[in-house]
Amino acid sequence: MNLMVVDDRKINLSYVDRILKNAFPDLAIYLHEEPGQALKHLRKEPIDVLLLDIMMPDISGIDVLTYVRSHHEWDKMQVIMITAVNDDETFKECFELGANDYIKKPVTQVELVARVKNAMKIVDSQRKLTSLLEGIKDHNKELRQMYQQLQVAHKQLIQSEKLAAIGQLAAGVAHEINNPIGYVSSNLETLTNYVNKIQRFMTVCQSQIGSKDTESLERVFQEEKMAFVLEDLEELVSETREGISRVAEIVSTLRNFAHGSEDGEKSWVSMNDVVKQTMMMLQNEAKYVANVTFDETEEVEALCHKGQMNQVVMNVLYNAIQAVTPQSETKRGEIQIQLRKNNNQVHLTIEDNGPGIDPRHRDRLFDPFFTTKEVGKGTGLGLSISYDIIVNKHRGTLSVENLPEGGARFLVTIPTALNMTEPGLERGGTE
Amino acid sequence: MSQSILIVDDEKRMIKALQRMFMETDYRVHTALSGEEGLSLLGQEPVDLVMSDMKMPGMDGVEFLTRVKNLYPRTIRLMLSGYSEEEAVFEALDQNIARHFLFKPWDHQQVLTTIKALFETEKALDNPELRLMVNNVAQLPTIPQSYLHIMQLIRQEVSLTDIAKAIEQDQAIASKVLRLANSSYFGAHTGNIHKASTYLGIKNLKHLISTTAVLEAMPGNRRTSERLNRHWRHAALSHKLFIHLYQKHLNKAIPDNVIPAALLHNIGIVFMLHEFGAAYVQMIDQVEEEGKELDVAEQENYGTNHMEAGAYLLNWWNFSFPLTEAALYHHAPLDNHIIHQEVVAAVHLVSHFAHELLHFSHHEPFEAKVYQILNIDPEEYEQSVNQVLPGTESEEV
Repeated sequence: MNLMVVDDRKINLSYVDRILKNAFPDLAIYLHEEPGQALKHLRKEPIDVLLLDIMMPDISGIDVLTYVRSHHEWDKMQVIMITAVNDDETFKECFELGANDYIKKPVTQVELVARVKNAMKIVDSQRKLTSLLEGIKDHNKELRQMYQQLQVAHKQLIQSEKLAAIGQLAAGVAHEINNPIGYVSSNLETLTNYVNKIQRFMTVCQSQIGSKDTESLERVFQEEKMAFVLEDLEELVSETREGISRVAEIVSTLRNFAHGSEDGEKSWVSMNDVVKQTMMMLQNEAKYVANVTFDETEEVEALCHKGQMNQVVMNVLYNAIQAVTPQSETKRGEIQIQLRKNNNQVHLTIEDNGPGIDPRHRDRLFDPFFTTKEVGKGTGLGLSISYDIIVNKHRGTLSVENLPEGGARFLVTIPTALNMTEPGLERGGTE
Repeated sequence: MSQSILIVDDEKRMIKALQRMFMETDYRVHTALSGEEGLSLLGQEPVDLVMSDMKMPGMDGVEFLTRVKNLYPRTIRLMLSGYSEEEAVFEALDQNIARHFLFKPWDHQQVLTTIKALFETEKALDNPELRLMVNNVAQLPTIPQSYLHIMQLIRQEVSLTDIAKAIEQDQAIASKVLRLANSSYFGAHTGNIHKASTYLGIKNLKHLISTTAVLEAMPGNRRTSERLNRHWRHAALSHKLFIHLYQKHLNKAIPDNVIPAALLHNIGIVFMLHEFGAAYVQMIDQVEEEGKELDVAEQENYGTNHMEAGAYLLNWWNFSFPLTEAALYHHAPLDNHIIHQEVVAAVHLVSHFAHELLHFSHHEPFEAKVYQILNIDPEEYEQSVNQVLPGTESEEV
């Protein structure tokens, strides 16, 4: 901390100097008779406390005060006017011009020390306040960064849950693709064999052109089982082609399903398509254990995020399939999906005839990481992410109830379109 | 009459494709679109081999093949599988619900060769003399229910603690399990079932239980005990060498269901000791003196031999197919009907050296070609094997 005294009388300067040096040994003190010199010094080095004599020839204390206060980089400087003058007008002017305090001449030691001490305290507090503020600013910045990271992590979590879900489907899909690949490849081997047989027969035919001998022709015809080959040929080719189409269809379904989830934009989506595509994706899982039916009466469109809707429907439907699987040996699973539009709400229900939701788990159903599956099976995130998607991102509802006849019914509702003034519709769809 | 095959798959195109594969063969091929339909067809006329898809709506492949196993135990069972059910496939093979499997897509030649091999092996397993002997035997040794129960628990992947508890509940089993667990080839040093179970781990416990079960099924008596002892010493050392071979020379892990192959390959001898007692002991003594091969003498006296008997039993007890092959073919590792060539070659090799290291007499020829099959260097192996000490296999079992 430092202090400057400006007074045209040297004797005053020494006096003040002596007192202050005694009271504040660590204080750096600068003394100036000439205001001009003082200002020069000020421009070179910032000063914390300034003691100004008002009555000075040429440039008065008031002038210096005015000058100093016009330089806002020195606003933190505490200025104490030293004055012999008595009237209120001068005081008023000083304070209005920005002086922080005053000392009346003759200056007593007690008062001088007290006022300087006060000024120093203020400077110190200001410094503390400034550093505190800086600290808060930094902290705030950190918080903002962490928030952004959290958002990124959240997105990744949704994505990885989706991948986990897709991974679970992959086994079913692999089987679906392997089957047609299996018989396509086998048929092609058979076809090669057929072609060889036909070639051998044709060779014999060729050699018999012009001759009347049909015996060898007949023989080879029998040997190479030509009748059978010719009859089977058409079917073999068409079955093989059907196999290839089937693979193409599976791949295309997979693509459709994954599509539309990269961007964060909402768009007008046919909920009917969402359901049908999801049903196709899960067909392989479902067909061994359940009948899945879809009851739709009209096209229901909603302004929503297609990829996320796919994820939600897949999640709930997959849960339903899993629910009915254990009983599948004795009781065929029945899963009914119903899609309706009520006023401006999409109503989607998925019902199953499984064991229903255990009442003990009702409250935790949508909690992150809650799962009744054994370790390693299922992330426990599906429903919680679905809940987040429906409730937070689409302002809808996701609920479940047990049916009186057994089984569970999940109900998803979302508004067909949100009001344009609603927050959450900004690009990126972030909350 | 030619053999008959039943193909079961829920997809018609798959069935057609498979049917076409058999076009150039003599096999009579039947088809069914579901497990139920398959069973109904079998009810009218049983077949020699059944091929079933794993994943089908209604009755799945495992259930279907299990029913076939129970109703028509002599029908060979084959599974068709896509890659998504590996675990289920392995389980089924392990329990002999199916003898072998086919992955999709498949190669015609490979499949036809495998099926032919399976038919041939089945013939050996089921030859009239063997069947005669088996029928003459009062009752085939069965694995006691108590063991079956524990093996079931292990299969259900119940916790180790619960399995240990189940073992503890049966004193007879517990003491035998502990004795075996503490023996040199398992090496647990504890009198506590739970500790022993934890030490061994599920896989080893499973083998230990099944070995004990097999022992229990065919206990010896005063007159056979010495020969029985010799057999088990040889089996124990073979097992040790088998593990050593895979670890040090083949540098790969032994597939779980194959681990007891060396331990059980001569189980046929135990059976014959159990059934024919002193007479059989006498025959062995004579054979050793005369320098004859054991199975030649067995063939003369009983019309069948210990390899066939052993294979029959292992199959009947539902051990997995490679073990059956190891029992059947361990003296003829080059037979071209063998599907699991490596395992059989390995058993042949270790069995031979186990005899050598124990200085037991044996007159079965050694097929040096197994080195080729296993792709190891003969000299290197001989050196290495001579450093494996027989150890304390002399324990009474």
